[in-house]
Amino acid sequence: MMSKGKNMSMQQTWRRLALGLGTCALVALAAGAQAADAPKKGGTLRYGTVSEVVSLDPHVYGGSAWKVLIEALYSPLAGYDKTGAVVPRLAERWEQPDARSIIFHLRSGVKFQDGTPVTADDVKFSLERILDPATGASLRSNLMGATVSVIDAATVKVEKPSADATLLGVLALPEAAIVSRKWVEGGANLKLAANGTGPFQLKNYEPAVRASLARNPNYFIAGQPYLDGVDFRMIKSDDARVNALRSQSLDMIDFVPWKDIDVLRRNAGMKIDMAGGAFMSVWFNTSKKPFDDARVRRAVSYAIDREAVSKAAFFGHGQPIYGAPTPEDSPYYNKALDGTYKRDVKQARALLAEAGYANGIDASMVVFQGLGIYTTMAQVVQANLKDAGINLKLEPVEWATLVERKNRGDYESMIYGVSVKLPDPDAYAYYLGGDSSYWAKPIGYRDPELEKLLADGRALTDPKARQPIYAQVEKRILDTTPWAFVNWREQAQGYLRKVQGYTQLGGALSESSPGISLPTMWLN
Amino acid sequence: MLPFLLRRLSSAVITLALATGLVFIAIHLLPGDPVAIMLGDQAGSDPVAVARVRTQLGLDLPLVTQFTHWAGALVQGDLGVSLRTGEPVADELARRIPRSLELIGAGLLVAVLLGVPLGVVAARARGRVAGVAASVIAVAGFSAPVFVLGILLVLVFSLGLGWLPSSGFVSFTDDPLQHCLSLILPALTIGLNFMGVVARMTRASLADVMGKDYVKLARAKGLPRSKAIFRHALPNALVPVIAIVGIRAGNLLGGTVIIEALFEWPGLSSLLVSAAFSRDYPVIQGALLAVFAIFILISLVIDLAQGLVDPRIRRPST
Repeated sequence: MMSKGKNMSMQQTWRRLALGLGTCALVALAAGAQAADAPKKGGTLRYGTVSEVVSLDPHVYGGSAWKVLIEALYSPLAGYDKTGAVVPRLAERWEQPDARSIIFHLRSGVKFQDGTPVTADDVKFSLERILDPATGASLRSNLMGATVSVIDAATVKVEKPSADATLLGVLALPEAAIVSRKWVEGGANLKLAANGTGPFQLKNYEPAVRASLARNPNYFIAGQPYLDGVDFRMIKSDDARVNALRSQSLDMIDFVPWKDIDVLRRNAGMKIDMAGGAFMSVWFNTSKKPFDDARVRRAVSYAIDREAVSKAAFFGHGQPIYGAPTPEDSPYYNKALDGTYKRDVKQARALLAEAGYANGIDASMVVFQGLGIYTTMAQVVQANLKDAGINLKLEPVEWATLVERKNRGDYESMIYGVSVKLPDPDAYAYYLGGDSSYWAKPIGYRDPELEKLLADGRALTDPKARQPIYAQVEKRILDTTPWAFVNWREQAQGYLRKVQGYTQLGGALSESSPGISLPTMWLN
Repeated sequence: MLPFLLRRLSSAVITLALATGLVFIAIHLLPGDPVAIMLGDQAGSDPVAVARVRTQLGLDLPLVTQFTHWAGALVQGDLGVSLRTGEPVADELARRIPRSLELIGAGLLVAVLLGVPLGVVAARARGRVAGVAASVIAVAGFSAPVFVLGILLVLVFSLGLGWLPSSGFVSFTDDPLQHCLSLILPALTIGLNFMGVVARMTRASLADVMGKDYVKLARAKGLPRSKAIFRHALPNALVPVIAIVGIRAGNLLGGTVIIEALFEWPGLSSLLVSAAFSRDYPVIQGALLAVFAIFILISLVIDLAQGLVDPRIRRPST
């Protein structure tokens, strides 16, 4: 759900503020101290990515490689460091006068790549661009209702209509990048060009093929980045990506195929880092028979053999989720819930009988046919459910069809891989909240009890006070099982030994990890 | 020759226009919304954002209007702008088509350079060890699936011997040597796969021609066997081979998906596939139009080539 230490109370924020810029320097130092040698400057990192970047618009999410690229080219007001803590970026400090607003003080002298200075007005423009539905920005729903006011050229206030513990965390995501008003209004094509303040600048870009980055000599964190440049090569084919790493024509690749993880690990010249950044789940259409009955949904959850799914679909690199999808290192992790849905076919049959389906049921499941992990998982689940008397008919579809059917609510059940959306347990509101069109709205799901708990949790900023509320949230979710959580999808980065300074984070920052590490990565 | 050319050109234009209209209808009938896919699973599930972006891109207009806009622009040489990348489709095609043609050209060259001699050997040495060996090599070439062949080549020449890059495209202007090196493995994969067909075709055609009177006459005149084959029989035997190579070239235009993916060669096929999966209508339309146009051009060239070899083909109708 969230990785450690990112949910800061106001007090924590102040503490960090007191530490000031020192934090960044410390982290860099710590990273350096881990390695045998001091960081070397220079060199170009050749990075192979599975996802094809087709647009550089910093506000519209476009896949994992896009996220890394955007974080390299642009800067938000705040960012995350290698420990997952929120640290200053374009804002050198901030204060939270109350639980629904933050006042940001911008660094002075920061310029966009085209030479225009970054002002509070650019911040206002950028956040309002995210709020404009015509942008199609990924964080629009997170920032919904926010107002941005310019206090002076270097100070800006962001305000939400009600208390929102997630605001700072959201504004620190790469998708909250600050762009230049003058540049955008001047008719720039944000999909094809970049004009940011990040550690790197765009040198060359061909959509879906490659992007070459050169260091930004004016980056506002002195001494960073260490690398002279980064070459992104987008390589969809798993075999091609792995072979390019093995033949050392790449230094690093993302999404190491699960089948290759153990093989590459045995290679002395290589390193594999992985963490769960997404989880596989079965989504139910709670407005249609037979999954309108929580007992049936729970029966499915009991019937699934998560260990088998992990072994068959992820070659063992898909840690089962028997409780809620919160990583063990998160302060919101609930040990008591782990083990809720250990496989129990008898229990599943009993629940079905209780729901009036003693003779079994027929149901269908929409499955993305383009990736082995989906189809394999579907086959395992199908066989598992058969043991409990549920006859599952699989409907393989391509991605475009799946998206359309999901948005129309046109399915009985479907397998969906959910990337953790926020480094905050309020992500549950996005997943399952009645106002969210992600899953609930198209099928008309709304659980008043859950809604109330989520609202309570969002209104508090102190993690200690929030913890018990989210324990109840997770309990409620497992009791009602709108989704059956199945397993973590461990995402692995593979790189040659000479690549130094990389840190893999889990949860919502998993995809961002290369972007967070890039400024302090170096080649030995 | 001129009326022949005009006849061919006019039928080409009609074919192209028909294909264009059909493509437009077909891809808009497919389920799936380009905007919902493009915006990702966050904004893409927000109906308000999806509707606004659709409006902005003109995707909410009636299909007929969208078609007339597109066709109107097309007549003026404008292929529109990619929904995903915001780049003019023509620019993308101008980058990708030459790469595809280069890859296909190199692949077919390998196929012909290896396939024709193999076919000749098989025809000349029928029933003998050399002939059988040639036939076996030919069959092995086209029965191995391209991805198996490709991976095998990578294992041997790249990961094993380290002579060639495993994949990756480098533009010729950046680094000519690296460009050529990275072309070798994908070209070999296409070539070795198709070589068998060329060899079989050459063998069959040559065997047929060798029985013809004029070859027998040439032999009767005292011409050595090899001279009779290479000077008289082979040129005639190659007419069907040219045709099949041409057709294959056309097929490969949109059909090198696996090879482009395996060797990271950013050509027309990979563009078509990713555009189709994300329903990038202008790119699908533009790319298919280009494929059709090139295909028609190739068949025109084949006809002309065959017409040069065989005057009978030039006559209006027989």
